[in-house]
Amino acid sequence: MTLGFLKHRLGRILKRPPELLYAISRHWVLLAVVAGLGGLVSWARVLSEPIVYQGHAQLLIDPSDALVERLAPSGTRASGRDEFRRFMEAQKTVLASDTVLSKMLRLLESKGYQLHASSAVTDEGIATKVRSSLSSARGTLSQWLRVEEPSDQSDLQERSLYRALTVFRRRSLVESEPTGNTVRLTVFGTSRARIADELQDWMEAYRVRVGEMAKATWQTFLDERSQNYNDLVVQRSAALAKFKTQNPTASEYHVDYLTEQVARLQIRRDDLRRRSEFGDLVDVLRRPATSADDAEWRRVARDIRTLEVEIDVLREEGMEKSVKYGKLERRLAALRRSHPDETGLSAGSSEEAAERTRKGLEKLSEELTALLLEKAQVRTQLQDLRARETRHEYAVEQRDKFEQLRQESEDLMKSQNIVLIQVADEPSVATTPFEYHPVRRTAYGGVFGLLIAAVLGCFLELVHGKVRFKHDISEDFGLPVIGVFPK
Amino acid sequence: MTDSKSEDRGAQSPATRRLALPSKTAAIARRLADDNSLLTRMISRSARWPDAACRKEGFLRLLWRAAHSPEFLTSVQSCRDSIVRSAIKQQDRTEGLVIGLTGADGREGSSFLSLLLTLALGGSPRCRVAYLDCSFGLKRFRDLTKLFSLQQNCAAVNKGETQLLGYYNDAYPNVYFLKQSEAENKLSFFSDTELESCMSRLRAGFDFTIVDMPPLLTDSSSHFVAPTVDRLYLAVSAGETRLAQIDRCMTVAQETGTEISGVIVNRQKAPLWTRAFWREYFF
Repeated sequence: MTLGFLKHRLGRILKRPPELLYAISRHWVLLAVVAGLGGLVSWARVLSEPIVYQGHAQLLIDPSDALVERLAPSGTRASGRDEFRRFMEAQKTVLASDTVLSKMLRLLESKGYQLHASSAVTDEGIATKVRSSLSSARGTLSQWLRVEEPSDQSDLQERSLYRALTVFRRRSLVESEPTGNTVRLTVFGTSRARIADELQDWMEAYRVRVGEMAKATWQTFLDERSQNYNDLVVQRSAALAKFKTQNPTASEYHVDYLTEQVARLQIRRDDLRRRSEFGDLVDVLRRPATSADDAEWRRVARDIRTLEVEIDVLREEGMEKSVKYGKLERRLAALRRSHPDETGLSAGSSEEAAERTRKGLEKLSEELTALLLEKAQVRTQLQDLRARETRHEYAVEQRDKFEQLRQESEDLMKSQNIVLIQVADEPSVATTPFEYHPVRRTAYGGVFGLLIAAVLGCFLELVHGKVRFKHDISEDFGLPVIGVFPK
Repeated sequence: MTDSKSEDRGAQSPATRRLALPSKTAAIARRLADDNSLLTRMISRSARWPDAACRKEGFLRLLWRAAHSPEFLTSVQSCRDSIVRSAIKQQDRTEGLVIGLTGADGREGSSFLSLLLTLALGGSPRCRVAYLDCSFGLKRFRDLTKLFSLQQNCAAVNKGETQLLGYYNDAYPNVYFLKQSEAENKLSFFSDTELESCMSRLRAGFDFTIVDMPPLLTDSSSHFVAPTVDRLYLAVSAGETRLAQIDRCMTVAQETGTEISGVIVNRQKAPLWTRAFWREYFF
């Protein structure tokens, strides 16, 4: 019986329905026995496995809630579809996290449920059943099954808690429904009362956990913001102090002082000018009328004074090098040379007085200019100072406002311990068992046994090295079959 | 025996009367019953079966069962037709055919099949058919004698010092059952050098000579007979004969200088569902 022969015969069995049917029907005893065995095994499994009930609850999670929003991985408002999906997935992860489930199990333990030791075997059967029925969620489930083992395995309580957590994770399911902002929790178990308690405690643990997370994230946020505000205030205070140190004269008082000084100088200058203009006339009025031609003297004196005033004006204007100034100088010198009598009596004293006046005016002008410059500079500094003070005050004001908001938020956190996660569907447990079909399963076992028996029959027929019917001879040996006699 | 009587006998035959047969099978059985042959006699009421015990065991039991199974008779006719067709093909042949029927290890029912074949070939009155049982069983021959009311005939075929005597029924003079005149070991009988000339005489005297040969693999005497026959048919038993045995039979036949002309499958089991469909795949 070579490999080629086996291949040829297998091809014939599989391709020719009569041969296939013959192979199956020839071993009908085997077929019946294996099918019966399959049915019996299935029935035994049905009897040995516990009756499983399914319970579910639904949570409504509003992503726009200020506290819940901070739980999103991106930290931003979930507006886009992908972002929202990520948000819901994050909620699923939180729901199925070790922290929440451990908290839930501890709550159950406080109610008297023995979770850690005796229920493992039963729950294993349930898990098998659940896993077989939830083929669609197999990927997610298997992902959940990858649980990190606790580091300290020597701790008996920790190990038992870890085992119970693993078992619960196998028989539970979390599904998010982004369209309705809901997360659906499903738990499978043998006890309906326990399923309801588990769901209730699960939601409670989730709420507490989310509240803790929100608090933690909110507190961190507040601390960071507060620190920022304080840093800003300190920074601006330091800048203000430094500016004041560098510019001690930058004040309103100093500006007023400078204004007063400028005003005084201006008054003095005006006095001096007025005196320089009208002081000679007084001298002339005081001069005795000994001159022959008093009118001519007065005219010449008036011209000389006028020229001197014009020259002073030009000098003040800084036009000493101009042509006009030269002409006036030359004209004044000519008048004084042509009428030495008229000007000679008072020439020495009036020129000195004019010179003193001119020098006094120059000095006053210089002082006034310096004061004006200083005043403008102080004004600029004062403006900078005011701007810095404004910014500092604004920073202080912002810090105070935030401190007030922080205090309110902390008060809100203390008073409102739970994040606004609503229960869309209260925990409910189905009254009928989940996927409990003993007859159907037994029938499936029988059918599976039939299939096994059919395969076995084909195999036996394959290795059957005897003549079965005429085609074995005509096709395998090429001999004609001239007759077939029935038994 | 007239045609009308044969019709009456055929109409009352157990094959058609006792079983609710399919129309085609019933028609074939009725036609067989119409034949004026030993086969017809065997399946008719006029056959005198030796006794009840004989019917319940042994060679005659099979014969009795075959005689009352229309399917069996249909197969016999099919087999006979195949042999006749093969003989007709050789038109230049002036002598009869010596047909050897053998099995692999002797449990295939080749004797039973060769007897049925003889009876079927003897259905034609013009064909002289001889049946030679190489096992030379006296009990079997005695039962056949009783069953078919045989009596010795003057016809005899010489083989050296011994003879093959012919037995027949007066009513069916074309069918002969050959019997050794003296008790002789079959090995010595077939190893005789005169065997070839004996076969030539059989060819000259009979249109068909059916030789019930010893099994090919377990009896070496068949090696002497195999080269002398014109057709060598191998009987195999479905579900019992191994494919390796057939392969070895072909090898042995080739080694003896002949080759297997065809195979007759015996004891073919068909599941119940073949009554409804795919029956032709098995028969």
